[in-house]
Amino acid sequence: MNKTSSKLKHKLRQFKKFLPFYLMMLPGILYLIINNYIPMFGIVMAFKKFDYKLGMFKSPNIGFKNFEFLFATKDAFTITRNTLAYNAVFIIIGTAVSIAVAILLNEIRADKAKKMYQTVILIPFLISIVVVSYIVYGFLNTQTGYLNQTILPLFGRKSISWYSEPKYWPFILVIVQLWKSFGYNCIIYYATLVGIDKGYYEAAVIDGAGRFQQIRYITLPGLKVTVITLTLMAIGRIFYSDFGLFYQVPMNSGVLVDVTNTIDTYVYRGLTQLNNLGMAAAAGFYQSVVGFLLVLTANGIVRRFSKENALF
Amino acid sequence: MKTIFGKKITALFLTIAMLTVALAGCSSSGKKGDETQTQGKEEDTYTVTIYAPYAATTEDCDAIAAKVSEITEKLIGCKVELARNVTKEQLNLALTSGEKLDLFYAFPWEVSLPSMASSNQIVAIDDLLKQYGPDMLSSISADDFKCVTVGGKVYGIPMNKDKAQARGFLMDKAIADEVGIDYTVKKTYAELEADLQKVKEAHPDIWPIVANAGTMMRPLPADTLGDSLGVLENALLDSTQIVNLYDSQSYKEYASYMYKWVQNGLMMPDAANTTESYDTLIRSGVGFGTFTPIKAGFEAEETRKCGKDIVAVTMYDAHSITTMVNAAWCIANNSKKPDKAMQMLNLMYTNPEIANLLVNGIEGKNYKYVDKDKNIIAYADGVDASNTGYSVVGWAWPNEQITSVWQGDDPDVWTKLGEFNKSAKSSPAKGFVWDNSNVLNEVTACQNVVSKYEASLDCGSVNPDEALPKMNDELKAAGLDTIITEKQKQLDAWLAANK
Repeated sequence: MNKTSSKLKHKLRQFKKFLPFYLMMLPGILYLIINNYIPMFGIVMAFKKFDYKLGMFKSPNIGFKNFEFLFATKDAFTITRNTLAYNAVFIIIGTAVSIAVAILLNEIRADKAKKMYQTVILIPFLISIVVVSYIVYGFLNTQTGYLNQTILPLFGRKSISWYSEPKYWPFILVIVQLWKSFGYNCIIYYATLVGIDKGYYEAAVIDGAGRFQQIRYITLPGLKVTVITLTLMAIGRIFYSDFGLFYQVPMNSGVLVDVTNTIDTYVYRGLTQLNNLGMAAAAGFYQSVVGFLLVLTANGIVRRFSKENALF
Repeated sequence: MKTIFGKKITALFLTIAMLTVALAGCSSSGKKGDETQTQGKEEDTYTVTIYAPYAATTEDCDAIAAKVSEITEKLIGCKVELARNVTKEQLNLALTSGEKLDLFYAFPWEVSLPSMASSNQIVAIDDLLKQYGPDMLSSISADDFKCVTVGGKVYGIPMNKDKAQARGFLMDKAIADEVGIDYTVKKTYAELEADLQKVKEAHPDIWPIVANAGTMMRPLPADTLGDSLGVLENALLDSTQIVNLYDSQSYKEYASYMYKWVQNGLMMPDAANTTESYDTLIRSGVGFGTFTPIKAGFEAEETRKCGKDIVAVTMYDAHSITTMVNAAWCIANNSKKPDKAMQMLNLMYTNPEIANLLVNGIEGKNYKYVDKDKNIIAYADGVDASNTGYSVVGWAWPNEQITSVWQGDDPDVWTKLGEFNKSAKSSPAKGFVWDNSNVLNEVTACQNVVSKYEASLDCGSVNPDEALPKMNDELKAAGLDTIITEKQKQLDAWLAANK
């Protein structure tokens, strides 16, 4: 009896102690609930033949019929392969490049130069993908593009009709995506690097460690948690593709579809013409479920190897 | 471990408790606000919101809406709000999200009337039409109403525009005369090719054929039966056999010529990826011509658009198919008062003053009278096609035929358009409205195949001998045959019912 009341008191004290934090958390939680949880009821739409007169809940149920179109053709394989493969490449190469650049940034001693590099690296991330697509167009345009007019003649090559040659596009897309996104991740890694205690490096120097040894034994292990977190989050979204990258950058060129079609662009192409809300909701639902399972799996794997680094 | 869990639970309950209070507060106050608002609205005059396509500035739209409102407040007791520049995406979004919208245009190449009807995005207007639109009911032919009928109910008012089109090639008249092209006779691809060669020789720096922002208005007489997946190959003939357009002789011929013309420099290369429209290309002297649909009064209209004298040569005679007629004005399900919307639509169709305001803008600001008796107008002083705040696209409104005639057009253009519509050959399937709801999966899959190949085939970027067989294999795998079978079944039933 005595024990429970003291426990309760203890809890109350704890609660009072953390009250400011709960209050601080509140706006974020509200945002999550309004923006991410309430719309979840929309999932029912994936199982309905949507009727605007009847509304979301009264429309007739049609079971899994809305999902059929996703698996109706062999396109299902192509788009799943493209989505997963591109995102896997983006995660692997993207992480490597971001870490490398973050370490380089960390090694720069001149403050002004460091600030300038940070800004320059981040700018592509801030440019709208539509603008990016026209920058790419400026390079690849058959008649006026920089590559065809200036670079290729330099090597005595004939001009290439980029937008009708699928074989180049996996590389183009990876380059564009890296150029656009590495700045942002790099800043996150860099922030972690700055947080590593300088004492470790000083001790290492005293022990006679060179630059590379410092990087290998202090910097990289220090980054481990951040890498795991960012990668896990990226894996959670591995079933979503950057619509702008795959639709705008190839200028929606039909010939390239085999290498640029992802789940998002497939659904968009199909549904802009059909204007069917139920099927769009079904595609979104499918992506969410698979994404969720992938996060669980990835997290499970991480937990097996280093429990303290897993997200949950 | 346990304490952490305990903490989490406390936090969760706390947030839920606070949230319920907060949300409860929100919802009760929100409701009150809503009630007062609707009450206020009922006393106020209702505002009919109209969405229309093509460029216009907000200021001009507001000014015109104010003028129209003056008239409508007297006649039917409602105000008007006008938004132009509406794109297909905006329209879909408005329909899906329940935004305030009463009347809007529905182009069959942007949205599908049958699918909007079957999901109740638009309102069936049979009863409203009887009550508020007797004039429209009497002046629109039963055949035309058939084209906007889905499941036995009428869902829109067909725009009173060209309801038939011939197919052909439009070109810069100055150059055509210079190299001696006879544009008064009907031509085949081979004859056209010879003409274009002459242009190429005389003006090596001009592309004889340009595309329209990555697409081509291919000169085929097919009845697309709604979506081009399964068509009548030639609407000028009587066959009702549905075939695969991309496997048809006429498409093969077209695609082969386009490929050949890109190879020998008659057609601009990589046209599928250009973003400029043909009128810009012709105006700036980059291009000579392009394929086009043709209607009565067409050359004058294009001359205004391109800023150069334009003539056109016919390749296939005028024919009329469902999608040329069922560009319609519809009442959105979002409309709070469909009856007011219908009354407004009736005025737009029958009241010349309102039609003129909506089509041509405000006198003195957007246009001026050249000859008031003959009802001929031109751009107002200091205004032209390139700087007007209100682009004039008469056919996209319910009834252009009661509006003023533009200078340069034939003063009898509306009579001639009427005759043109009547004289055109009707496709045997005209009036048939395709309902794709049974084969949606196949349609989605096939449309993905079409969007993969169509632009590059149409613009001659790929060799049809290689690409067409591949495309047709993929269409087959995507279920085109199922679509054709279903379409044929529906068409046969329709033909039997409408003999």
